[in-house]
Amino acid sequence: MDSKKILKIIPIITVFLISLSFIGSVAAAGLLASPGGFQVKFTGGPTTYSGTVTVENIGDNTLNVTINPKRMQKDNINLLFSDTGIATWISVNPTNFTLVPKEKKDVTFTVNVPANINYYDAVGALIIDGYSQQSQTNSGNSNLPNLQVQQVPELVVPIVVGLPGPIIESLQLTDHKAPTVLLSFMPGDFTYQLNNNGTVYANMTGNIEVDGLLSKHNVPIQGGVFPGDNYTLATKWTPDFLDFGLYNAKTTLNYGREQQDKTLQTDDTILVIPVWLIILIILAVVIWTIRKKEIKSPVNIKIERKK
Amino acid sequence: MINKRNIVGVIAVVFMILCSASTAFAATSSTQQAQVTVSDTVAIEASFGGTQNALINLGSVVADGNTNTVNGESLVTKSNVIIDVYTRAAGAFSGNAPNTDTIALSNFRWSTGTPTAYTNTYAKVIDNWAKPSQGSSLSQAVTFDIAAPVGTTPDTYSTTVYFSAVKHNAAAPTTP
Repeated sequence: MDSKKILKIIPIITVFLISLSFIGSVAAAGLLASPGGFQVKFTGGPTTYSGTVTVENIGDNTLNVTINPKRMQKDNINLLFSDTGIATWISVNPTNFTLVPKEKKDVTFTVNVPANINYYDAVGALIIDGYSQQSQTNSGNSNLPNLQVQQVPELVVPIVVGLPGPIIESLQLTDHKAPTVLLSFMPGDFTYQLNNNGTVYANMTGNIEVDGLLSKHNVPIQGGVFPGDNYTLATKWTPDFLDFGLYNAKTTLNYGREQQDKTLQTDDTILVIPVWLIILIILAVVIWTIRKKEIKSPVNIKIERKK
Repeated sequence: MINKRNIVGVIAVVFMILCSASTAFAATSSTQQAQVTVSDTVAIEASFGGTQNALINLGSVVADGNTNTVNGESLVTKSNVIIDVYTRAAGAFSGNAPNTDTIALSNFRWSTGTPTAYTNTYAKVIDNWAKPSQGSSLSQAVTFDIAAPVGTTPDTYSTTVYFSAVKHNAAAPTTP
């Protein structure tokens, strides 16, 4: 009797234990790429290189996989991608597909390296992203903000052509112009010719401090320059009614990719001649001229007393 | 009486058997080499325990500006090379139309030690992550901090977070 009971219980326990193993499992999104990088042998002259990378879904969710070629710059801290340079030499097929768990796909790519390559274009990369097809979860408390994050595993497969480009933030002021004499209400142009001789985008913010004896002004300026580009930064300042005399215009330009911790500075001197002073001078000259030449008035007014 | 012819015959048969046997041994003793090339692989998993999908539910938070800590995120490497892992967010948390409120990334931080606010540029999470032993993987827990500013409209807010793995020193300088 007891043995019969035991025989009945064992399958139940077995099913229960198997079920427990599933309950405790963790769902994950995961991607694998092999090889993890490619090296193109570039010896000068145009070169065409083809390769194949195998992408596999190693997670538990079906993934929509996208592959994008980029130019890559990497150092000990930063990782930057852009769509210029070497990114335009790389073609990928396919760029978009779906992988169920454990499924893998071979992706081919071609790199058409031109005859002369820029130092900054030495490293490209295939950016492989796996987006889960899972939809939005049910919201929690409808009276509170609910927050959710879609996590995307991403693999970076470098394609190295030559020497890699380091991240260098550098901006040169090649020329600048500022007004020397201004009248009231007359706008003066400030122009700055900039060249980004670094390897990354330069965000610029700054100002022109226009300081005079009795008044002070601040003109904000901002812009951005791509690596290798020349850029003209232009702004204006218009003296108002009360401005007059000599002004020192100090331009401070802070730049950098993220933290704008590098600075360019220039100083200029501007003479502001107020309009009211010109009017006064003109009036004074006119009055002086009239008195000096004893110019009589063409109108005679005779006042007679009534008898 | 032993017949000499019989002895010779037996010896001959035995000798023949031995020759064939040795031939057979020669056939079984030949060797062939098999080889396989294993390429380097970069493999990463991002999981959030307890959920059944790749969406991380950070839960409902009170819109009071206070920080809420969420545990459960785990990164796993199954690479066969040393890797670096970076993370970034796509942008601020956004709700559903017509709600125009957003939760800035400055309110969303990741941590493997010191909390760091998310941005839309890559920040290094793990440097020089060792290669796992054969047949195993390595994991790293990540903690999230989130705060909803006061006045945030009740809604479900979402963003996308990327965990990027790249071979360590993949772009190291090479000689020309």
